[in-house]
Amino acid sequence: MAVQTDLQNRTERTLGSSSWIGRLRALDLSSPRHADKLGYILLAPAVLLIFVILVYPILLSVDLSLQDVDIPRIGETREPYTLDNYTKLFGSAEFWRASWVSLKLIVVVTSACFAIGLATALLVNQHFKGRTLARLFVALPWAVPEVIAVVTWWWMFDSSFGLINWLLVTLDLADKPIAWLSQPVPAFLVVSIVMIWKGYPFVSIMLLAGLQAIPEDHYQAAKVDGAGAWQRLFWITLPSLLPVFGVTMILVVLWVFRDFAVVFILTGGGPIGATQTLSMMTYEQAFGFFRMGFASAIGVVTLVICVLATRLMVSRMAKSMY
Amino acid sequence: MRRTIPQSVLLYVTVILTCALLLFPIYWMFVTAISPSAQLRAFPPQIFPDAPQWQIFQQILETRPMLLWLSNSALAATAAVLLSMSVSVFAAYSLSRFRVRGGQTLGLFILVSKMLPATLLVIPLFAIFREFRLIGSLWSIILAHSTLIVPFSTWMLKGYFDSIPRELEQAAMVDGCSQLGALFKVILPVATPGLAATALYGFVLSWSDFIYARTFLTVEQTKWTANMGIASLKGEFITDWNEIMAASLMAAIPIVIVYMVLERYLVGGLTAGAEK
Amino acid sequence: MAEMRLEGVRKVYGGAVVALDDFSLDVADGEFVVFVGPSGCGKSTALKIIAGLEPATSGRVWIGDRDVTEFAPARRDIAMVFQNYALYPHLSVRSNIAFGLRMRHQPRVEIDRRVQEVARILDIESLLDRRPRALSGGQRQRVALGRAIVREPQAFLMDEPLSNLDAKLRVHMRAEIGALHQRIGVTTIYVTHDQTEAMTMANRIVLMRNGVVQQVADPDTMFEQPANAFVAGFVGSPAMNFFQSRLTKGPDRPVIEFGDATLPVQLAPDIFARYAEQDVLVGLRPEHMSIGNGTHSTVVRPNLVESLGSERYVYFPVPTANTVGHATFVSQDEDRRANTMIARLMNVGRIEEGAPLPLSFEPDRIHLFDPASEQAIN
Repeated sequence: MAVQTDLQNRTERTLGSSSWIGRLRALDLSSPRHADKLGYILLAPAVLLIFVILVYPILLSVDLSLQDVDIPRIGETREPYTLDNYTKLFGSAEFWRASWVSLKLIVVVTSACFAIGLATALLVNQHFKGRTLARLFVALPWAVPEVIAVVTWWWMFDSSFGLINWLLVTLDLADKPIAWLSQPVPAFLVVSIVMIWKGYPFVSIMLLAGLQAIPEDHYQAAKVDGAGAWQRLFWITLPSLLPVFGVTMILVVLWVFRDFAVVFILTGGGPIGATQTLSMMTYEQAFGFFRMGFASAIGVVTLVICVLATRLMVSRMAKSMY
Repeated sequence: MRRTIPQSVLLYVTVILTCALLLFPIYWMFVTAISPSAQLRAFPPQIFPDAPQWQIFQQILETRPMLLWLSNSALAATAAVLLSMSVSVFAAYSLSRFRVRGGQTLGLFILVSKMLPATLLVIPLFAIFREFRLIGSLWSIILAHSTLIVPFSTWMLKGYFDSIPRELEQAAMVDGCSQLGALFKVILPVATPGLAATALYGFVLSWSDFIYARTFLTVEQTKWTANMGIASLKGEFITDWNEIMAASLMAAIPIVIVYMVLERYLVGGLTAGAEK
Repeated sequence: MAEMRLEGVRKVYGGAVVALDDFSLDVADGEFVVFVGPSGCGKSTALKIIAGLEPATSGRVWIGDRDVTEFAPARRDIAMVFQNYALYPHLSVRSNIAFGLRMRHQPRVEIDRRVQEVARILDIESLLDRRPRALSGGQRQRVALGRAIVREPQAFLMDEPLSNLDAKLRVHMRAEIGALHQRIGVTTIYVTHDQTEAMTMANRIVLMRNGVVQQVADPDTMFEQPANAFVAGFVGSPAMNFFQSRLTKGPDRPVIEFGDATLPVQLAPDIFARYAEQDVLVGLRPEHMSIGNGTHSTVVRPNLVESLGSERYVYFPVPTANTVGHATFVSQDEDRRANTMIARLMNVGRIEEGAPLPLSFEPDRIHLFDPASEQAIN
């Protein structure tokens, strides 16, 4: 104690400062002693905003899913807790059908996105003049807002004057124009095609980055060992891409699973529920039928599936890599 | 490794065909926009328009509040980016440089929130905005888009800050800066490309949104965003496809330009927070 | 310019990992002190605490007559040179050097004058308008030095400033930093893991290991009178040889055995009494052996001979009776295998591997260490 006061006296004498300046100086956030406090201060606004626009709404939606409520009012006395929404949900055929549609969509869209994405990535990874431009073009659909992609394809699939129908009829692949959006299978196909067109550039960009990270000497070594082009693809390129594959796959699956705009604008989930995904069902229940408690329950289930699926895929991938 | 001439030709043909096939919808958007309405209902379709109708763009600006919709989109995107970045720059810096208790938890939460389905979040947000009478106001989508931009930009910027050596701000502090001074005078200028890429990416996220605009802005046409407007142009029975395609082009061009600028930084943005 | 004082500085990470333990040191005004030790020894932590970039868990730091323990780095009036130079990539060389002066609101004319002068001293005038990324490693190093000296601070702190340079340039810059210190005479603390740098540059060396100061001494003392086996093994290249031997009473002085050689050692009688008839750790520098038969010699069989032109490094196995069971002081020289010795022989002819080679020793240069504590005993 005595030592400390002595030190303080010396400090203040040498600074020639009165005690309030000393105290102010002690608040200097750049001093090594207080550096951590600055960390909290810098984080505070973000934490506050995240609480207001994310944490509270999530809690609210979980809360809503546990009430029998149509259009909630904040501040009103809440309805009593009930698991009705969840029991109703798991008992409804509509929910299971929507899950099935979501799953089909994920499988179709993800695999097609990977096929096109990998092919284009390998293509523009070649050395040739103008490949910068080719790279830019190959992934351009990424930049087209979803709504615009949807209306463009819609026009191309128009049953009366659409380009696709004309092409199919002209090439004798169909004997009469197809009413794409009013039949279950074709409607599902159109939804898939739009999503594939919006989704493959992401895969392409990611895989291209992965390809460029493969050191050139791996290929040199393989060539010295006498590996042909296909062997190099299977023994070096694809295995090296595996980690990127994993991350990309998770992101694509999550995107397909949660996407809403494509289905909503194109089909609204129809015809007869053929394109009704879980996301679409959530939105329709909430803002079509104003059953927000029930809709929240679907949304919460969707979120839980997302988190579980991600965790599952991450751990699987981690295992397959080691 | 040298290619033979046939190999080169094959490569170029493949590249050109691939691009042509994949970009055809964009080309078709363009052709449709500038074709006369009558031609759109004719068979065979005109792949190369012989009588381009450039006045369609002018026409759509005169008959539809397209300019207003575009400026609403721009306004909302700019405000959402500014709001989000003004908190996430500091948060990302803090997560990158300080040992903050709960920082890990925050990072984890941000990751989870990136998995959040918009169709779930839109419900409580609707309830909240209705309470605060924000429905129909641009503020509703500015806040809603921030739910997308804050998590992603925090992660992306943290990545950028992590790549800047700590010694840089240590040097600045020894040279006479405070910790915040070092951030503003050294770290942020050095991170400018990263900041710009993050901001542009956030802009794209906001500009491309449909669900929040569709839910919160239905009241007044004058408050709609470009995407809302375009979706509304699709009529139940009759659609002026050249009009809708012209509007689409106008709404897509800003994002395409952003994409051209952003391309180099895209991977960082796309994967922000994906690998931990 | 100022003296510097560390009082019982301690740094503990996460409540358990001791990075720096009770570090006290007085640095005289104008002194060039080198902190040296293997990586993780706490030398950089100590420097960061002095700079104010990291808080000390306890203890105090004085620069001049100010207790700066709680001061932000900006207020400590020090300059620092970093291993990666940490030049501001968005600023020209000129602005990099001027940055510290600008932060201190010096008049523009004064800044320009001082930047010019520093650039002249360091011979980088032609680079002033370039960006750091357009500079070579050596040029960056000079700019980093320029940024430090332009401030005319109380002290320089240098954190392994030469380790990113290639070997030749390193030797050159070493001399140049030495000359610069001679010229401006600012108190300097210099951190390195390279004992050669420490030996050539320092007025005083602080040798550290696992957060604990092993010895503080000028280079010659550290070389000739190492405080313990770790210091002995760290300083000098090739590193000191170690072997184990029983300490017994000889005809006039205590003796140790090496192979069939009996070597007399100097030892105070009371110390000898404590270690008599016990094993001790013996240290012998490679340069304190020579070829040929002498009063104290033995015959070894080299298993490797390296020629460096004027000198040869002869590797030979330690006689079985002399092998060291365990050694915690493990030499920093990773190529050294356990229980191999090196003799550094000057101006000798061809030496056959595997052929018998007579070696003689200088008994006066033998170091003895306690086998358990590894502290020097003679």
